[in-house]
Amino acid sequence: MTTAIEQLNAAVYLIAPELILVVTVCVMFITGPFFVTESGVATPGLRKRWTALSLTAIGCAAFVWYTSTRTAPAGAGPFRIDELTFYVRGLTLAAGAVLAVLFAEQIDDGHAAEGQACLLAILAGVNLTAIANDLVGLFLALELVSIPTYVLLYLPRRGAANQEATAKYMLLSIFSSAIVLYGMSLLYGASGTTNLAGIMAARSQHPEASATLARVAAATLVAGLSFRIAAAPFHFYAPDVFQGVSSAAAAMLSFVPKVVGFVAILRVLPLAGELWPAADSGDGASIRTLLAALAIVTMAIGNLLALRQQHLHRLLAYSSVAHAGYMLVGLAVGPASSPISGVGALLFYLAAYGVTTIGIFALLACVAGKGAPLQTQGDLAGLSRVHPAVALGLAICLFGLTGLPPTAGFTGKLNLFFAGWSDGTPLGRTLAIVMAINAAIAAWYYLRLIAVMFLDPPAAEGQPGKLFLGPAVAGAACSAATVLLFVAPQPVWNAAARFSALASP
Amino acid sequence: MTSLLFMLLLIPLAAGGLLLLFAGASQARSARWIAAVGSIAVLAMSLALAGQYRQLPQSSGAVGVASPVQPKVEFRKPWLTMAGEEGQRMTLEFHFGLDGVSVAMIVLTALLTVACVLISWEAIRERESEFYAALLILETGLIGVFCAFDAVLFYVFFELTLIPLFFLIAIWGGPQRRYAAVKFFLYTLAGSLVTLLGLVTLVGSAAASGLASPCSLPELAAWYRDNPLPQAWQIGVFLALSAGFLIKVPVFPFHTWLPLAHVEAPTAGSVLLAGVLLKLGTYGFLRLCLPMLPMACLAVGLPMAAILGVVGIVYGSLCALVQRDVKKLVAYSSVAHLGFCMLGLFALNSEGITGGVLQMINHGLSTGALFLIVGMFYDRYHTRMVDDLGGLANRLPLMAAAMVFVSMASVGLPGLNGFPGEMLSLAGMFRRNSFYAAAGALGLVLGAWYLLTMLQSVFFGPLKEPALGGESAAHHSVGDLSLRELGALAPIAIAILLIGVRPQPLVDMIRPDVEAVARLYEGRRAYTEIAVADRSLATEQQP
Repeated sequence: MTTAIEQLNAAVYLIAPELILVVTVCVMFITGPFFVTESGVATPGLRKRWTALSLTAIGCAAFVWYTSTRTAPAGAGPFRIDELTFYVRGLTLAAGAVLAVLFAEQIDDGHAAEGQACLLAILAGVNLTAIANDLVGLFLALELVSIPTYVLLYLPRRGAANQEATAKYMLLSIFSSAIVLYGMSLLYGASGTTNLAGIMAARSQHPEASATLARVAAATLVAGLSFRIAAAPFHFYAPDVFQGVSSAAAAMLSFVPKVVGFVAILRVLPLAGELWPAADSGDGASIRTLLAALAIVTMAIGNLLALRQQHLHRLLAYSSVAHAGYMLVGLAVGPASSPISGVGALLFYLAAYGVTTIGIFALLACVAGKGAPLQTQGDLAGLSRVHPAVALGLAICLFGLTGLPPTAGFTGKLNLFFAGWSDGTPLGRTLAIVMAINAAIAAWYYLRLIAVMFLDPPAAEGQPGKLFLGPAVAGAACSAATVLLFVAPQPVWNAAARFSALASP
Repeated sequence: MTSLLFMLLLIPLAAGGLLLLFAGASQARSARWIAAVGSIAVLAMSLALAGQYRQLPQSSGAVGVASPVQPKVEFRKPWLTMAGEEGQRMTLEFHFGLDGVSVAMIVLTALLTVACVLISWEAIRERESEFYAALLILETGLIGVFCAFDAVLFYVFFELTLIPLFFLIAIWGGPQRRYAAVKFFLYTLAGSLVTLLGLVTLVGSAAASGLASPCSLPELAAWYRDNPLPQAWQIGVFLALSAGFLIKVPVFPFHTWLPLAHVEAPTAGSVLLAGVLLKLGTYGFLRLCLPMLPMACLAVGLPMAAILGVVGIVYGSLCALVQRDVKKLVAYSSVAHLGFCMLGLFALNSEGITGGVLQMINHGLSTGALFLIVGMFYDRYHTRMVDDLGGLANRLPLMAAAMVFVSMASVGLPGLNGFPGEMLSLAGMFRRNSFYAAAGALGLVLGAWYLLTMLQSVFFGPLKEPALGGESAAHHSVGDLSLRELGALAPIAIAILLIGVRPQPLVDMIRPDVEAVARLYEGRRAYTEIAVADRSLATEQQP
């Protein structure tokens, strides 16, 4: 009989990449204040060194991630390493590197240490969400993402809008965490253990005993986690928060919480009910219907409200809501027996969406810099004359969000489409059709942005502003990746689909 | 030969990328020359490709073994393989190929692109390098559609063409360019999303029943020949696929975006739009609907295409008749001409399909040339209104001669290219259903009517020129066709004459492909005919 501590010791090597990140976080938090005077003044350029440190940490974590074991038996231990972990780690570390570069330009020297440390903590939290094999561990990982996010959002201190955004995000996030916790407690009540494998075993032994309880738990968990993926009707914070925060923070918010939310849903929902059951089981069907309804409402609300937006960040917030809807299509379809699994398509779409959306925010940041002159779509007018390369990159990313070739967005939508349609059930077909309609609606507002950039004359004559190097590099990398993921999607698809092949209970 | 094909795809793309990269720095002059050299190189290579293709031995595949869609040259490389749990696989491929129809369409695309570059030489005065970049990227997309033999790859190129054409219309177009471009983009995108739905069903149900590479068009066509879908399914898939194609063609009543887009587009945009882009719709029918869904084509496609085609012929001709804007007149004539094309394709026999394909090429040549000439006199007078112009033959004899020549081709004068296409289309349709053919033939008369009326009032009679900003002296500088403009028109005119006098080589080139499709329909009668026959039998018996 081993104690919990011994178990933990045995399992520590499983989370080596996250340990590297967390240790760096500690170093940054502890030593950071010594480089800043009491009045908050730091040597100019300090932020570049912190960025270099955090990139180094991400690089080391990535090396360990790539070389270490890819699967380990879950059992009763606190961690489980499977294909989902592998995929999520790769995704977050890649996105994290880009985000670190973005944040370098957006936080002043005095707060750079805290900013980079928060970012690394968030990345570690995302990975741990995918690794946790215990309800408590899962919840801690979720909070390891949330709490640094509050700090990160507030660090630039850009006035009332920023304050409002942070406060709104914090309150609603805590609220949603409480709902998740409630759902978890119900699961614990139904099975008597917090270990995920244990819950699964208990549920399969007595499937009838706690069916109602599990169903309520499933609904609660979906509701709580929907906040993170910004699914309607839990999306209300998104536009206000996106509007109030810097481009880098908005880039982070549009991508990282989505990964966390979907990974957590993929981990806990199979416990609550048979998520993707055989056709005759009624229990899972109700969860599927719930997810499908959520997907349809989310797509419709996101796209319809985005049509009217003038503020860029608000528009992208609603677009992020709409994309959550597309991804929910994959979740609702599940790993069906058709050649393309819904979960695989969802995970692939996460990557495609991440590249394009971070790319857009990076390119906006590279024109605007630390200030925020790029607010409404009118500010984009004539961008193709002033900064043709930036306009081209933005056009690629926007076409990516629209789902047009030659971008990753096309491949991602195509896979979701295939998954939904070849699922063979009326539910899947309906979802595919609704998705097609929504893709057509969405084309309108993305196209409007492109039209403003390429057709309108520049608002103000005069010297074009200087481009910021870091975000420019990040944006260029993302636009290139958007095209690359279209031309050569196989490696990413393999990594995404390997998990979904195992996902069915 | 595949290397030649890749050069065809890569050269315009590379030239376009080059122009885009140096958009800020480059001079208008160098941009033009890069575009000209690039497009002429593509034309030369496409002619070489056609020459090599004709040297290939006729496919020796036994009847019934070869697929209804069978490229003679193929290149395959896996793109994305997805494996299901129960061993089904779904493979997307970079599957390029060439058959007779695609070779012909590629040559047409290359020919018209050269003309587009030449016609824009002086007409485009701002953001030149971006303009030529869009033009060349559009060429890549078009060539890609014609040589893609993977269902998804086909769709990718099909959609890809939207982007450069959107910019061509929206940046360099007329006063209402923005509205026109957005309408064109959203309309066709909405249609092609429904097409995607049909495509996914087509591919997905083959994949579900065990076809290993369901996206490959040859394999898919062979699969559906041996294991046809049930008729209700075929009809559903056919209608979904048609949504995008009907809008693209455009068939009445889905044509409303077309006149607007044509009028607002710059000349080069109109030429490629009319000459090649509209053919993507009919090409889509030929590649996807005809070989895969024979029952639906007979049951739904034939009456739908024939009725809409005939309505389009008559309606388009009548609309053209009352237009005062010459460009709009030509735009409506496209609606009418593509009606013939639809009639031919959905005759579903080898004469008809051959006629349809010929009509695709001929319409590209003659309407492309018409738009070129309209653009040329617009450059001179800055008006296209019939009422403002008259007797231009007195001042511009060469242009008038070219216009008469091209109009005759468009009307379908024997000896020029329009004749064999329309003739075969109608002949094919006559064999299938004489009523539709007779109604379509009416359009021939109408076509002659509106074009000749326009010719008479614009080019003949007393000279009437619009006042150019009050300076009547400026008209003395209006000269006849320049060498550059002749260079744009001459190759097209030669092609028009060659196809008119001797269509046989072209027909021979496309015949194997057409016959492979038509073979599916041999011995099948249209369901409507059977229904009509039964009813007449019943009425006979009643008294």
